[in-house]
Amino acid sequence: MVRVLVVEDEDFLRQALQDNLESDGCTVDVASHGEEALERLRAERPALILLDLLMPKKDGFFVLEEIRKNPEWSSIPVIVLSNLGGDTEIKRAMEMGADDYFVKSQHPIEEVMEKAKEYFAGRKGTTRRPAAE
Amino acid sequence: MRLHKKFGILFLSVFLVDIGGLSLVYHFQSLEKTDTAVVDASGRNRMLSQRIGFYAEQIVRKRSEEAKAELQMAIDLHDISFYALKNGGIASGIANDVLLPPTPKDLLPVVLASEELWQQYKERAGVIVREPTVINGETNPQVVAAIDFIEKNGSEMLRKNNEMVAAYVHRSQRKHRNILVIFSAVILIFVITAGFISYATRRSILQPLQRLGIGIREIETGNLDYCIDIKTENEVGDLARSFNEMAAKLRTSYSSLREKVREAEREAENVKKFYEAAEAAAEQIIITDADGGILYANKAAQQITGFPVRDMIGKRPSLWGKQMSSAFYATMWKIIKDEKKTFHGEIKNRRKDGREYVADLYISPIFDANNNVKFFVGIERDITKEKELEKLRVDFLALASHQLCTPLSGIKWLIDTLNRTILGPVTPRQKEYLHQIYRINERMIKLVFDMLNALRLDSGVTAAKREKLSVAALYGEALVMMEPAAKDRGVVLRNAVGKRAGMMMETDAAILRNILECFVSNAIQYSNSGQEVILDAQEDAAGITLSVQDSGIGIPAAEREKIFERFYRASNAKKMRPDGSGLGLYIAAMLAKRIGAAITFASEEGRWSSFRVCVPLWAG
Repeated sequence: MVRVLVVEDEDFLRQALQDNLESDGCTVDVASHGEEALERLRAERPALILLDLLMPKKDGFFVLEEIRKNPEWSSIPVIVLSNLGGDTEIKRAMEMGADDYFVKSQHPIEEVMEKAKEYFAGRKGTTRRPAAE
Repeated sequence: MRLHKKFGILFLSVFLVDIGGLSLVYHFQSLEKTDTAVVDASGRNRMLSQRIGFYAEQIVRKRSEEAKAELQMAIDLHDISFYALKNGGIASGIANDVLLPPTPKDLLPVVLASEELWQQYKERAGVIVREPTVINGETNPQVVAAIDFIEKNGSEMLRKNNEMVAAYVHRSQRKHRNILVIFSAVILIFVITAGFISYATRRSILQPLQRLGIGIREIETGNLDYCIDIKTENEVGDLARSFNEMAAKLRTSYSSLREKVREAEREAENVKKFYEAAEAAAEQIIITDADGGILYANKAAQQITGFPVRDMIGKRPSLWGKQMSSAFYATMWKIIKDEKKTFHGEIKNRRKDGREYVADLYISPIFDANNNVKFFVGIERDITKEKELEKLRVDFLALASHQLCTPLSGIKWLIDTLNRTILGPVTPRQKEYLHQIYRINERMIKLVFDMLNALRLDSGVTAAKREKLSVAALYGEALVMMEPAAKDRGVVLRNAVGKRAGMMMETDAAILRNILECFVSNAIQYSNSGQEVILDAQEDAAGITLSVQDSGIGIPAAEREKIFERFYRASNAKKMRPDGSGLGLYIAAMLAKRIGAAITFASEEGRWSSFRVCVPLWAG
């Protein structure tokens, strides 16, 4: 069973992602904000993280930074799912170590699932390191 | 006749007349002296002849021996005078012994008549002097004979002498008359000459001079059309002609001067207008020399920077500048000084009181005749407030758009999930409904996405990249991207580049792709099923021109100017597809500007449209 962590503050999006991932046979952990995400990570190491950026309390950039800082988690692939579609946000997220970036409104959920499968099928590990390192 | 010649002749003749007159007077004086001497000498002879008679009688009758010496002296004097009168010479004792001229021929008979008697008279008188008066108590008969002759001829001798005196006096009087006539003639000549000189002077000098004076006064009072009417062929005439010429020249130069003055006045009026406009402008206007020293600053400059105008003059704009990176100023100087082009940019400055402000700045170099920078004109508008408002607007819209995206992407993904049937089967009717909802949602997403894009471009953040890109790669990608949409509308996409696909560009690939997608998307949307959309490319000196041509609805001629405006949609496009955002070409145009490309288009309403973007060759 592949464990995937979904970090998303909007219930309906989180629900949709969870349903799709579970139907593809994943075990899904969910978190609705940054702090919860880090709690979940500490409890269980996922094989893939789907990460929203704009969230209450700690946001996605903070979580991403924590993941890449922590040697235990630094090899976990992270796919950013956000409605921030600007070049600056995308560039920033990629530089901070995101493996992929989806602007939610621009892609059907199947595309996200396809991309996710590439990672948790073991075909692809993270190749990303934060630019600062 | 020339004046100097005329006067030369006049003065010469006056001189000659004077000399002649003077010599005449001199001659006359000496003649007068001689004539007086002649008359005196002949008068004395008259007296002597009487005295000879008297002495002879004294000697003979009174036996006076003393009278002999007197008689001899009288004889000698008479004889000397007589021959001096006759032959010329000095009559001693007369008029300081003047040399007498010989007797002129016309008087000679009178003199000769007198001489004959004088010779006899002298001889008898000589006998009386020489011979003894008494010989032997008797009177010497020789003497008696002599005295008889003298007594007999005494009156005759006197008469002859009188005749001589009368002749000489007469002659002298005639001469007097002649001299008087000559004198009168000379005086007449003098008077005539003087009159002529006066007349000539009046005619050829005074009158022309007077007319010249009037003319000069006329010219002085500004009547330059006045013509001095002097035709005289002399120096005064020359002077008048010179004055007329001078007046004509003055007239010409005065009228051209007046024209120049008028021109200068108009110019000054213009300059004044510009000055007033510059002073009243709401924008800061600064004029600096080629090195940036401030020559002029308007009132707005004082309001915006807080520095009084007098404090700015001679200083540099860095007085309130220096807030940007040195690279910014280096670029600015490079553009205005080296490239000699207008610089346009946003600049942050600092007021005198320390407050920062943002300005929209234009600096243009002004050139002299040799294309060297003479000075710079800087026009600055304080856009701090606009910037703040703009930022608020952008922030608000960005946030609002983002907040719209979240529910829209939720709807999208939830429908996706339903369609995947992981939650159970969906009936065909339900599926159709889901499809409709999905489409409506996609429309909303597109609209919000376009708005976001436009806002992002408006705030103008990211700089264009520089990448090598082949037309083939660009078109390959675009065709793959747009194929589903084309298929959906039944439109055929055709790549007509063929062999030229190897053309390379150097630009921002993502931006160019966006522009191309906008063109292709429009071409597909405004074509009808079965029509073709053709992608082509041409290379020339300016760069590579990509073109997208359709056979769709075209653009109405009257609306062509507006199609790049934000939210503008052509009337026929609105009718065909009510759901467009009106942002596609606006974004494309802004993107093109970002990479220095130019968008052009041609169209015929109801027939076709062709959009082209010219990607410039990378300079440098």
